[in-house]
Order: sequence, then structure tokens, then C-alpha cells
Amino acid sequence: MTSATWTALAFVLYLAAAVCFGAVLFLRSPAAPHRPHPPAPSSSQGEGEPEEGAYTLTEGISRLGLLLLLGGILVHFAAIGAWCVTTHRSPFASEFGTFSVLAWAIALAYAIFDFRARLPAVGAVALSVACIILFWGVAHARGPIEDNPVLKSQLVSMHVLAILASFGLLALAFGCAALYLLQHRLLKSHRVGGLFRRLPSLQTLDTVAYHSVAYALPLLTLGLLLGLVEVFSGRLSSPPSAWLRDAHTIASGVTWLLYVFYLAARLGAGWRGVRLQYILLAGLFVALALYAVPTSTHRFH
Amino acid sequence: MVLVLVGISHHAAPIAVRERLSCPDSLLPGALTAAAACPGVQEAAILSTCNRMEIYAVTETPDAATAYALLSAHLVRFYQVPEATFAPYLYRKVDHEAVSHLLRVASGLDSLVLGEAQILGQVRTVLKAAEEAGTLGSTLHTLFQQAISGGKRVHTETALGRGAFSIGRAAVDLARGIFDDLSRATVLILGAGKMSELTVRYLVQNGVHFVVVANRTYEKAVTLAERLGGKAIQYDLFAEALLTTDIVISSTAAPHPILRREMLAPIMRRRRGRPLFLIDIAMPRDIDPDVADLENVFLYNIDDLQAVVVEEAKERAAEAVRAEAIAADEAAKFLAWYRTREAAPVITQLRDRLEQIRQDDLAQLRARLGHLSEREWQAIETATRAMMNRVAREPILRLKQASSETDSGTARYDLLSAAREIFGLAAASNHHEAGALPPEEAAPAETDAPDEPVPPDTAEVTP
Repeated sequence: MTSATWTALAFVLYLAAAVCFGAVLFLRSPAAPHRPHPPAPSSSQGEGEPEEGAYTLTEGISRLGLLLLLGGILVHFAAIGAWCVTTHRSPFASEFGTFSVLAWAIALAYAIFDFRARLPAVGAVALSVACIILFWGVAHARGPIEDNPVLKSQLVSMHVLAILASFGLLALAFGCAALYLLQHRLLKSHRVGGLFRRLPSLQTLDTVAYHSVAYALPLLTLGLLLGLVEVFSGRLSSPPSAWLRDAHTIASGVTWLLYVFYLAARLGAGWRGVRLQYILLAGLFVALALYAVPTSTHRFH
Repeated sequence: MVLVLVGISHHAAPIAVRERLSCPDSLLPGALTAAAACPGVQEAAILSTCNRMEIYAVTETPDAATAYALLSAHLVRFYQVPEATFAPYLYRKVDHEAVSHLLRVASGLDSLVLGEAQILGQVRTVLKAAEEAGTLGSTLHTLFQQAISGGKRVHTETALGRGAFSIGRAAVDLARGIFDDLSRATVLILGAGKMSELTVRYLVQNGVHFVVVANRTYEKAVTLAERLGGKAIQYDLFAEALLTTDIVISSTAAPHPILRREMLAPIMRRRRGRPLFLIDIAMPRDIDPDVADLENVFLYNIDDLQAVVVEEAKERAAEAVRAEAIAADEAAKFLAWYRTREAAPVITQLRDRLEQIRQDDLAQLRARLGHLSEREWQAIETATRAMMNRVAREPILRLKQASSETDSGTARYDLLSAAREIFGLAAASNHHEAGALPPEEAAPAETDAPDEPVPPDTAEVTP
């Protein structure tokens, strides 16, 4: 099978997993509490919990979603590998490859968190975002494949990979923040019907977002440091001053500062609640703006 | 005699109106006495909960409209509230409508939380309070006992109340939307009342470990804290406790808000955005509604909890149908008794009159036929009694039938008046003293009935 076929299959698997998580969200009884792990078969059913049959169905769909996700991650990894083998290039030599790795990072980030806390709402959002990014990448699959020797550097590959992995986690934090604000709004406006009871608790969303950033920030820091090392290595055509003034570099720095501020506010000052979620939203917006801002140095034609 | 009900409830009246007419336990005896002292009111009972305030009364007014006006005027006088404040929300019911309403209320069918059992206890409390205040007569006493009996039947024969969405469960449900682990949440109870205890018990059953109780009477706080395995604090320190609290359940009897925005705002700043879930189940409200505007504060009062129970109520709709049938059945039993007691004094007088005639004639006969043996006199006794019963049977059956089958009252009173006139009976005495027929005698029967006042199906009821 070609890379395109593997990628298409990964896309289908992600989409199916997102549908499963969405279905779990809406099939589950609104009264059912969110649980990190399914109950043991012998556990007694408490008052207000859904009927045994209903729980088994949603639990089954949830597990199917996780299997589809894991399958998608493996297939996607194979697709990226096949592309690299076929083109003899790093995946970051094309827009398609870059977007593809970003989508893979998001899917992987959610899969890791799913083992810790089963949050179908977050899964449905995260995988939908991954599907959109992958679709965007596929739409640009016919774009040029750069042949710049810089892109063959392992340091650059690690720089991009670390940053994309951090973006995957930050996207997850973004999804949690968005759901937090939705849940917060429902609670404030007293619209506590089915949707409210199907979403994770504010504290859960806040915690998952925090852990996402806590893992993402070191990766982002590593990625930026590796980039700086490359800039000052003398292997690049542009002088370091040009790189440091570059819009992408500045935006990366601003993003990094925002997330540092987030962690400092949360850990140092003990902040909680809505304001932190706005920082997370702003952080990813700035990060995504990286791609919109014209760059003079991050070009490898 | 008219049995009437006037009241407001959560269905139409907003909380701001309900709290103006709320009647805390401390005011209940005075309110009962004042209601019973209204001209024309013979009996009175007041059901005041956080969701409703209802006055049940038996009056001597010529019609229901006069009774309604009487009770509305009493509300204005007693609560010092303009009539325009509550009039748009006031419902008025008479006779079978009032009876059916109370049966539905006691069954939890009219509750904010469909099928909740707490209202049954509150109906019991009403009965006890009115008995102690001396404002109950046989009608309201029997009605409330019938309501308790009906409520018990609904809770034992249907699943309406099983897993019912109580205030406590609604609180747990909402808390789960805020906190991921209730076992790490701290609950502060303001006011050591029954409602707050019930609510917090549900939270404790769902994992809450840390309970702090603050009450104006410190000893009550200590008692409740011991029951819940928590700790009591002085009431003055509750603001400080808000710094470390996640959930507040407030149910004090304070007449004004005890937690205001200007008090909570600096506390929230010190909490640095940690969410605070406030449940205000007090009536009148304990927490200023402006508090809800503060960031990371989630304020829910009794009315807000209604949204939480809507879906659950739908799921139990089938049980509600069965419960409605039971409530209607119990209401019918009371109404049968209630209506036959109109005829009871007339029937008693008729029997007495016929018996008097029989005894007089037997006495005259004994004077003239002194040579008859005792055995012959027994035969004459039996024959005259049988003859009297045969004569009385048809009129008595007609009277019972008329009283039990007629709602409007017109035909019933015509027949009763006619009976009094035909047999030369005295006018009916006050209904307080009037006897009543047992429920099985409400319908036409072949046997003669004893005329002792026996309330319907209340043997198992413990008020």
C-alpha cells in the first residue's frame, strides 16, 4: 500500500473513533458519573446509575473507539514512514508531512490521556481537530517537496518534531479549555440538562488541560532550543539576527511565554478557573498564527 | 360548610413571591391561630414548604368565593403583603378540587422533585401543628390523615419515589459537573435544619468526607456535625470557612440574606478562582442573587434546581400515572366520607325519631296488655323493630345515595331538607359535632349502619 492509502485509512479510523466517542457521549445516561475506568463486572449498581445494558453498550463503543484510535495511530505512523521511505525526505519537507505529523501528535496525545481518564467529549473534539488537520494536509499533498539540505538535518527534524508534539498536547489543552468554558457557561446559566451532565467536570477538564501543558511546555522549550542551536550553528544561510527577528520565531517565543505564564499562574499563584482557560485558548491561537504570519527565514525553497 | 384551599406554589409563583408568604415553623402556630380566627372559618391548616404555601380551611361562608376573599384578606393582613403581589399566582380550589390537590401534594405528584417523599413528612407536620394549635376539626383532620395514607400508598405501591431526584441528588449531580472527585470536596452547611441535613447526607453517600457545620445555635451545629461525622464551627466564622470550602448548602431561618456579594467578592479573590458551588435551599433566600455574577461562583436556589429534575421527571412519567390513580382513589374515599357526613345527622335523627315512636307505642301497649308473657313481648319487640327498619330503610338509602352522588350540593340539600320537614326533625347542628358514616356506608347498603363517626381508611396512619 502507498503512503496515500495508509493516510486515507488513518483518516477513516480517526473519524470512526471520533464518532464512537461522540456516540458514547450521547448514548450514556446523563446521570452516569464520569469514571476514569469502567467498573468491574461484579460491582453493584448504585442509585441513579444507568442500567447495566446501557452501560455495557456505551462501554463497548468506548473501547471500540479506543481500538480504532490506536489502529489509526499505528496506520498513520506507517503512512508517515512510507512517505519518508518513498521520498527519502523528512516528513517536514512538505506541508502535507508537517500537517500529517501534527494530526498524529494530537491523536497520540489524546490516546495517552485516555488511558488515564476516559473523556469521550475531549476525545471527540481532539480527533475531530486531528481529522481536519489531516484533511488539510492531504489537500496540500500535491505541494512541493523541499530539497533543502537543512531539512535533512536530524537536529532540524527533532526541532520540528518536538514543536509539533507540543502543539498536539496544546491542542488537547485547547479542547479542554473550550469544553471548560462551555461547561462553565451551562452551569452559570443553569442550563444543566443532558449536555451538561455528559461533559466532564470543570475540575477534570482543568486538570487534563494542566497536564497537557505541563508535558507540552518542555517539548516546546526543547524544540525552540534545538532551533536556536541550529540558528547559531552557522549551517543556515541567514544570519542569526535574521532568524531572531523572524515572525515565526517571535510568535513561538510569545506562545512559549504564554504557557509559562499559565503554569506560573496555576502553580505559583494558585490560579484556577475561567481566566486560565482563556490563556490556553490564546496560547493555541498564537501558535496557529505561526502558520499565518509571513516568514523570511522559515523558507526552504 | 365549604372546604377551600388558597395557595401559591413553585409552578407559577417565583421565589421572590413565595418567600414573602413563607411561614417558618416558628411562625406556624401564630399563623394557624390567625387563620382560624378569621370570621366564618371553622377549621384551618397551613402547609408551608420552600415550594408552596397553602391554607386549607373549612368555612361557614355561603359560597366558595366569599371564603377565597376571606383567606386572601387574611394573607394580606398576616404577611403584610399587598394583594397584588401574590394575587396573580394564587390558586383557589373548593371541595373535591382541594381534596384532590392535597392528595397529589402528599403523594409527591405536585412536588418540584417528582415523587419525593419529604413532602409526606411535611404534611404530617402540618397535621400535628394544626392539632396542637387547636385549629383542626373532623373534616380537615380526616382529610390530612387521608392524604398521609394516600402518600404512603403511592410510595409503597409505585416506584415513583424510588431513586427520586431529591434536592440532595440534584446537588450531587451539579457538584459532579464542577468537581472531579467529591471525596476531596469540603461541604459547609449553614443552618442545621432538616433540609440541609438531608441534602448533605446525599453528598456524604456520594463520597463527600469533609463536612463543616455552622449554625447560630452552636450546640445544634455540634449535634448535626456529630451525626454527619464532620466538625462544627462558630457561626461567626463561616466567612473564614468559605476560603477552604467547595460546596455550601445554606438553609438558615434568617429573614435576610446572610451571604452578600460584597462579602464574598474578597473571599473569591483570595480563593484565586477556585470554583465555589452554592446551594441556597432557604426560604427566604440566604444568599443574595447578585453573588451569582461573581466569577467561578455557581449559585443554585430551589427554583434553579427545577431544571435539574425535568428529565428525570419524564423518565418516571409512567409511575406518575399509577400514582395519580392512587391519589384519585384516596381522594374519592375521603369525598365519599365527606359527603355522607352531610346526611349523617339527618339519618341519626330519623332513626331516633322512629325509635322514640316505637318505644312510646310499646309503653302504651304494655299498659293495656299486661297479661302477656315475656316471650310474647320479645316477639312484639322483634316485630316492631323489623317493621321500623323496613320503613326507615328506603328513606335512609335515598339520603345516603343523594349525599354521595351529588357534587353540586343542590339535590343533596333539597332531599335533606325534605326529610327534616316530612319527619319533623330539627335543623342540622354544627358539622363539628355531626356524626359521619363510615366509608363502606357511603354507598347504598342492604344493612343498617351504625352512625358513629369513623374516618375512612385511617387505621394505619400515624400522624
